[in-house]
Amino acid sequence: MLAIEIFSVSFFAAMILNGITLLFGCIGETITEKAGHLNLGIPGIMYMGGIGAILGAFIYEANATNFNGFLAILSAVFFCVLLSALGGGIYAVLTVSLRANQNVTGLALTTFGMGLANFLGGSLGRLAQGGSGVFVSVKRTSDAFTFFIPWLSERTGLFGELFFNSRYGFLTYVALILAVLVHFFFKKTRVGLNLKAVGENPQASDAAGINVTRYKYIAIMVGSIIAGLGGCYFVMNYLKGVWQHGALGDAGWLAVALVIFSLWRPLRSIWGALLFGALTVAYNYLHASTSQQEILKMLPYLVTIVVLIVTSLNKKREDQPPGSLGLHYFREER
Amino acid sequence: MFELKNLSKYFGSVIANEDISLKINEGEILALLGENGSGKTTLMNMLAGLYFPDSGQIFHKGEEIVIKSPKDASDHGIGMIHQHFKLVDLLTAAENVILGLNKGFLLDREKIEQEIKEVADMYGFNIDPKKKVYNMTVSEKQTLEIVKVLYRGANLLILDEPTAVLTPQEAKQLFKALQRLKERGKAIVLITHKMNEVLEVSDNIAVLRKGRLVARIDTKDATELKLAELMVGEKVSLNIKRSKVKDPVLRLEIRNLSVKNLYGRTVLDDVSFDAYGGEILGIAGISGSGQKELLEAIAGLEHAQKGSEITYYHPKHNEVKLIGKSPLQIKRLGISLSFVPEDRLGMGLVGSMGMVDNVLLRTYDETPNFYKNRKRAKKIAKEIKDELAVSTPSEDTAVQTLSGGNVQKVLVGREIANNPIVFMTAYAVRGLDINTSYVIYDILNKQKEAGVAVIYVGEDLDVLLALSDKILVLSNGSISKPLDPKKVTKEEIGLLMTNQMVKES
Amino acid sequence: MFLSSAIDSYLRLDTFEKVLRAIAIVFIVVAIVCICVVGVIWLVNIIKAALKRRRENPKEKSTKTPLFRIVKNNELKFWQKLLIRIGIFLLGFVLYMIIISLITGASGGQILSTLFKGNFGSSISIWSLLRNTFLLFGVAVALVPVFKMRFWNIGAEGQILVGGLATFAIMKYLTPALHNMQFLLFIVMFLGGILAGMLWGVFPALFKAKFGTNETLFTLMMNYIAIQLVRYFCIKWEKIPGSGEVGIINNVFGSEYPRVGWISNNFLSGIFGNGNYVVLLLLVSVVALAMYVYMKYTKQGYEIKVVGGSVNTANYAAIDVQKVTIRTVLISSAICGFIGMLIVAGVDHSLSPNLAAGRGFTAITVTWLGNFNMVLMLIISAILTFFSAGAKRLASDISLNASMSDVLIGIIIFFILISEFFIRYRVKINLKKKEKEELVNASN
Repeated sequence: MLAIEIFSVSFFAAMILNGITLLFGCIGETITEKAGHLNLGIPGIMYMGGIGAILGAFIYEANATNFNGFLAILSAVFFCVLLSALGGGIYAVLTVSLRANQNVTGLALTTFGMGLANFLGGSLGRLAQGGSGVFVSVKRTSDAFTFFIPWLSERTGLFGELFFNSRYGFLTYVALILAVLVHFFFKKTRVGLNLKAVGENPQASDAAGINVTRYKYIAIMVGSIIAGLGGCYFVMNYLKGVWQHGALGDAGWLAVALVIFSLWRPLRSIWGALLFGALTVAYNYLHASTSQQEILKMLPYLVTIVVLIVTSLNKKREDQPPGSLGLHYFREER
Repeated sequence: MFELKNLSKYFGSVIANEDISLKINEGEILALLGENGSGKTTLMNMLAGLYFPDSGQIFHKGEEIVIKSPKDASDHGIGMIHQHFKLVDLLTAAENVILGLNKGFLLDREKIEQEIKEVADMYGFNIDPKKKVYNMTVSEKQTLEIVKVLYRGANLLILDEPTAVLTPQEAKQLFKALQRLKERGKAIVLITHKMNEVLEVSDNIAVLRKGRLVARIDTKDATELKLAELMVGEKVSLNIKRSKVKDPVLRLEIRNLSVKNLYGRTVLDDVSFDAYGGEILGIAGISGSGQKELLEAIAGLEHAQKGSEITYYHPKHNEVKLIGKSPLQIKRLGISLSFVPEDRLGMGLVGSMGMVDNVLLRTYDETPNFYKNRKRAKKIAKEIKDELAVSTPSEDTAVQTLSGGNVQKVLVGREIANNPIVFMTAYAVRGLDINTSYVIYDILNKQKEAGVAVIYVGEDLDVLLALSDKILVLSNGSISKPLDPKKVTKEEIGLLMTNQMVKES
Repeated sequence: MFLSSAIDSYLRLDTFEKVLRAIAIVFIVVAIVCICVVGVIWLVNIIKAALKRRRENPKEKSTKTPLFRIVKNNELKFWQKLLIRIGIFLLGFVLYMIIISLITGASGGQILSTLFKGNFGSSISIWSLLRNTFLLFGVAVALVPVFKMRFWNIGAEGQILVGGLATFAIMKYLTPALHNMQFLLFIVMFLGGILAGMLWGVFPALFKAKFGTNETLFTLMMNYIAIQLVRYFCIKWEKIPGSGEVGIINNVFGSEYPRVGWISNNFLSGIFGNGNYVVLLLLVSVVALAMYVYMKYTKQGYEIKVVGGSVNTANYAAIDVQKVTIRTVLISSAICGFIGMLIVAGVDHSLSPNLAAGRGFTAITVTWLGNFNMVLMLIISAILTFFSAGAKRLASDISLNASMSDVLIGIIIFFILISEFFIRYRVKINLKKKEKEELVNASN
């Protein structure tokens, strides 16, 4: 009935690939939420980042005479960052300066971002295929992303297979390093402390001389860019550079859930991301019928709900969401 | 050192400050005196960078400066300690002090804590840099705020009603500290409406009334009466009527009431007392000694520990035990308990709703059917508006746009329209101008004369002594024996407030 | 050229559609006039202010003062707000047209006429517009009480889905038994739909009420569980193995019980034509009216308002916040479930994971932007549906990728959010320090 293949390397790889995508999204959203903003547009931004990467790769591949992996990656990442920043910028302007409702703005942004990504993907596909192609593929760039650590994995046997699998691509390690860096950022730097304060109590932070608006903008932009990189990662490493309509699935929502799951702590996000990644792909490795698979795909969401419930029962002050999450800050309020 | 010239600030059509010119010198304590609503805080907020002047100039050592933000203020050596502390709960004392200062990229916690301790010691303050703010007492938080501005190099310290949350003893400590700071050449502005403080500690006094500066005098030339006149503009008798007590009837019997807060700390410890209809029972104590929990426990809003008992004696039916009943159950039993809480817009009223809808809070459930009846509420709202002279564009304007005094009138008016048997108020006149305060005292007296058991929790000891028939002192959750306001002195109450004599008296 | 062909095709429509088109055109013209009025007033103000400044004050040394200050604005009248909303919406619309024009090379007129054809081109498309508008409106109505209470029910999508799922299941399994008593069948379908919706709402409600669990995320997650559940059943009940498609239930042709459990689409077909959705519109309107009365005139509606205003005050006023929370969420999710039933029994007659078509999410925007005002919500639903349907036509007629419509709807929403800002706040521009600031705002 249900046979288990958990310890095959391919499961491990799939878990990492999905998990790291979530990790990018989660770290990005953690930074944003720490600043007091709940960005439900992260799914849209991840889509935009993903299509940005494809766009960049496509432009490069179409115009480069000699293919240089490094430049291809650069192009992909550049466009990814550009589009993610656009998404983040829209959210930031609307919710920080124009004081729009964060939930509505975020959802509109998700609609916008997913639409934009699907649209560009479809259009590129047509361009590429020269007709009515359904998807666009930038395999060479994707390979470039993944070629970085082959010799290490060959040398170190199973351990190497697991941890340095060339399939992971260098962005995996970027994500892990980012998580650690963000952790230290909040714990050990002044700017990190300021940001934490902004999210907890913007009035006090303002009175202390912190430019609340600037911090929020930067947190949202940086958060969006990091999340967008998740889209790039997924598309290049997991999908091997092939874009399809709705490629990223529900990754964005899982990333948002992951933020809560990890209680806004980047280090916890790492293993949380892997757990969620594992749950997301579990259905493929447990031999279940097609219908049963759909039930299995429910797991990550169920787990998140459990975590939600458990953390709301827990009353510790340090585990609570940032004090001003979802609220506007307005200095001249009388 | 600092000079304000023709400073004005308007909020829409409201004049908060108009054409104020003032000099602040170093090595001096300037008291900024005025009633609530006179514009003292607004004026200082402009110096602190929280509001931007609509017109006028600010000079520092002769040079014109512009203060657009708290950071600008800080750069010019201005530090303000607000009434509502601007501290981030989740952080430690040290983290709060250096918040926003970006000297260096990394946080060297040890070094910072060391520096802060040094600054604190230099001025004679005692703080624990590692302590989390959410664990601190009010007085500790205030000390932290002061150390914070000192650490950032403040030469002008502005304190907004600092003694509102302190015991008389703590206030004395604060004044000593201010003297020390003065001797070090700091300029200090003390915003207050308490005349005794002004006379005790300041060198100069500036009096504000309705947004304008009406006088600037040396403290040695000032008397209480003169100041009071300047503050309100006309002769004000400081007498509050205390009507005679006739036929007191036992209405509320509290026995062994204990309450624990969210974190398990005991905030009310074995409290017992009686409240009689036809009497005003005053409860004194520093903010945070358990008053809020006491009144809320009686109203059914706070959970009491086992062994607590509250018995209510209804004029017509039998006695009822209140403990364990929710407000809904209390209401259903027909028990008429009115409660004017401290948090007016946060608890007593819904700010976004108008007068009528707020009156409905008490009356909406009167009709037996599904639909609400607004007619009676409308009538009551109109009565409140007329009898208490509530200034509002209409009975449906959101109450959060009204001034503090009017908000309180609406709240009190609604509660007495309930025809209560027991009437409880917490800090009924806090933040109100003199005239409105007297209206409130009047209402309380009328209720007392009508046989209602009035429980008045207040912070102004003079008012408490003048108004109450009996006084209890609440300190750290424990309550004293009933005292006779005609005999007890303010100093005795002050000592009780700090728990030195509670169990003995 | 365009004008004559437009008039030509217009004259060929039948009366009903003529009227609709005429209304639409009038609306657009009025709106354009509004923008102009707004723009002129704004310009006049700036000029007046600049002149006044120049007249009153000589040049002064100005120190660094902030250029823009944002201050809360309580003093706009209704018509001013309306003008701003319409004006900015139209700005967004113009941008929309420009973008499409750039991408597809179509002219503005072509775009407009395609949009119109997509919505008003035939009686089918008009009914489609009406039906989708009201379905979206229905969900928005469901969200009114919960949003008023500040319980962010993002789970409407899932609640619609499970309502539809339950309805379909009932149709599937009870048709043989009840095909002669359709009335009873409908009652069971109705109950199934709302109970399923309520089931989906009760958990987030309970946990929020008792433990303060964040409802935004809880309800969000429930959506995806619902989608998976529906996918599961679609596979389980698929007609052709491997297709995942359930097919039309109780179909007109080839089924033992044609049209059983179907909500009539030929209600008063003499007046409204075949394939009408009048029953649907009526049902949704009834629900909307009931909700209006509920919120405005009942005690429960009042309690919701108080809880949404301040939980502390609600407690103080002896309102059982937990009870109100759970009750209101149950009502909201029940209505969503009901909409699910309407979709399955009245429109699709089938089951698919896409039956809600994102309405649960879009409705959030509708309710919030409509500020709980029924009429405004209906208008916004109509606008969004209009663009959505128009987009499909744009895709087929001028080859504009269908995903683009999502992008553009996103943009339109952004613009509406921007207009909210101008309604709530004023921007003070500070060019010289010494004078009183002039209020530069389109409404003044």
